[in-house]
Amino acid sequence: MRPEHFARQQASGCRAAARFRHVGGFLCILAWLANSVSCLGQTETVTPVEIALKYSEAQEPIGLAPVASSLPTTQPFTKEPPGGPSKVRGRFDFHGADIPDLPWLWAGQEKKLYLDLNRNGDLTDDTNGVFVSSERTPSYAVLKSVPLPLHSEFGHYSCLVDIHLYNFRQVQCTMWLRSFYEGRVTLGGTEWQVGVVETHSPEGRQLLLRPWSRRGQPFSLHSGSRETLPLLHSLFFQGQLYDLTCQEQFDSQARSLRLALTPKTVPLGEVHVSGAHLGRLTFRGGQVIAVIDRPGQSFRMPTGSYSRLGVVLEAEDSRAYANVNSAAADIRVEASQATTLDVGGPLTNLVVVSRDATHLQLNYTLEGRGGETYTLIGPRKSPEFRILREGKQVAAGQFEFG
Amino acid sequence: MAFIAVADIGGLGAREGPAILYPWRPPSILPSVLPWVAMLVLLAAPANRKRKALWLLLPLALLLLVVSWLPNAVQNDADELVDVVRPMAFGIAAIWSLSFLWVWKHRLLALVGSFLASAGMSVLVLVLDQSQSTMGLEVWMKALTVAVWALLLSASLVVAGIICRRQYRPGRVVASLMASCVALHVAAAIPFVLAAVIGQPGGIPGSAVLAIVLVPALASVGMLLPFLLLSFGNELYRERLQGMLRLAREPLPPMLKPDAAAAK
Repeated sequence: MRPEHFARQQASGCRAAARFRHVGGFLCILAWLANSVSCLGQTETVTPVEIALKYSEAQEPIGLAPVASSLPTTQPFTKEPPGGPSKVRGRFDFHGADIPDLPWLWAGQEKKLYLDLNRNGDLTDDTNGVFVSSERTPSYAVLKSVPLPLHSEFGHYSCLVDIHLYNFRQVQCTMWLRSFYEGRVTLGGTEWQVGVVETHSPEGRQLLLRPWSRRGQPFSLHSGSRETLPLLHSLFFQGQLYDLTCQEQFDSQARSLRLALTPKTVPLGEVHVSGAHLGRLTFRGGQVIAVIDRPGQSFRMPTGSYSRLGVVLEAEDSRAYANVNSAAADIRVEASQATTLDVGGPLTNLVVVSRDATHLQLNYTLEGRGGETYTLIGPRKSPEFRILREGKQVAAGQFEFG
Repeated sequence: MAFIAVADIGGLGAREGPAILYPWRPPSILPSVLPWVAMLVLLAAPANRKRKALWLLLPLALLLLVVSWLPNAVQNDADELVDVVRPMAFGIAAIWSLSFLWVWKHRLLALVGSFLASAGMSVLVLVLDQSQSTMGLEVWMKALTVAVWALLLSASLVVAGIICRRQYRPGRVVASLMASCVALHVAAAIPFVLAAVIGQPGGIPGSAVLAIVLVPALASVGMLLPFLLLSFGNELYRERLQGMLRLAREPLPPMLKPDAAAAK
């Protein structure tokens, strides 16, 4: 139940008690007691918004997979497939998770990766554990759509990863997650795609939150678009603060997640933003994350202190993001007075000129209204520069990335 | 001067940024001139006050021309090598200009003299070449590299003199200098290669080892070659090379006795 409904019913209950005051103190007390019990019952019946999140696979890599590292090992496994002298062995290590290492063997000449899915040391009995690289060179392998076996206290499940193996000087491994859990919810009259990405990184689980209409678009934890956010204890979204809980469920061997958004009433404060083109603002303070979509020039959000501000600007077919980490001076939102933020567009292309002995260094920066630095989202061309002397162009060129 | 950034950022802002004014003053020419002034000071020594001595500037200028072209020709990995080649060119020129101090002296004295002259000049040029942002540990590392390289070059000259067995033949001098350069560079690289092999459990590729050893050795020979050619063609520097490497002059043709001539 929304908090304004709750307040309205409480007020009507109090009016009813006053109407019957003349009947007698006893009845009045009875009415008050009945009203109190009724109100108490209503408090308990604040029902959370529950979203069932089903397993889903993305076409593009989402982010780094749960495997923290790959440990090389020279000790042969109990039983190995033939792989010639170029065989490389290792174990995938799941840091921070109560999951045993996963042995693997890379036969470079055959371009095959053998996974010991049942973890019995025999790499020849895993019929679904052989993957072939699409790369030509034996020292670099890309193994797509590998189901990585995991388990929790409730059961076994897997996540889909793309594995990149490098064997230059020493074996290195990078895994990119391709699977996540997603569902649909209507909040504030809009349909949203809600998802959870399990990264097992220090940041923990990530929450995907974007309009349902964008569901077909690829997303990434590293794009800066703020479509994914850390899954914290509380989320302020569409003008409402929710406590978040995420639990896993196993139905007929299939794993799903249940995300519960429990509404919570907190004091709100006014925030004014001076910039334009605001697409999404995210504020992080402690275990609270506030997401403000297309806010206009002012909006209300929970009072408190926020140390990290993320800004996404949108205009026509362009998007840009900025991270404003104000560790020195947090953004304070108070109920008594409005907070003003000087961020947003329009953006300005700038050259930063500095001298280094006999060289002149030119650096490019895309600056926002408050001096914050933005990065364009998506493919883009290298910026260019022009040098003028007395109004005439004397040189021109292109900035190099990096 | 005005600097303008141009980038298509769609509707988020204007394509062309504001003009950023920056007062450009040409950089001081002193750092690039001072090494040449130092060379002229060396050439002003009494033993060098001859026209033939000035020919030393020719191989140095040629070498610097090649060095200025190198950054465009080599990979990025070789940038640091290029940074120390220019100072080393001046260092070798310093050996040639000051070698009159240790010609026909003990080989150890030739080694010390060559090392001090080349290392001193190279470090001076290296420091003058550095920008403010690279001062500090990086310059110390480069100075150490230059000093070690100067020691290897000086030792290569002395060892080449020993290999030539007191006989002066240009081809033999070049060949023995190449041999001594490669041998000494290999000897100097062994500890570093061993440290790299121990530090890398998977081992390091053979091509990397060859690059560590052969590139500096070939660069040394390449830098010495123009100065050797000068010595082969210039009487003043030929005598100094012979004295520095302690090589006997070419044997004179056998003289016929007056009696034998009369009998004919």
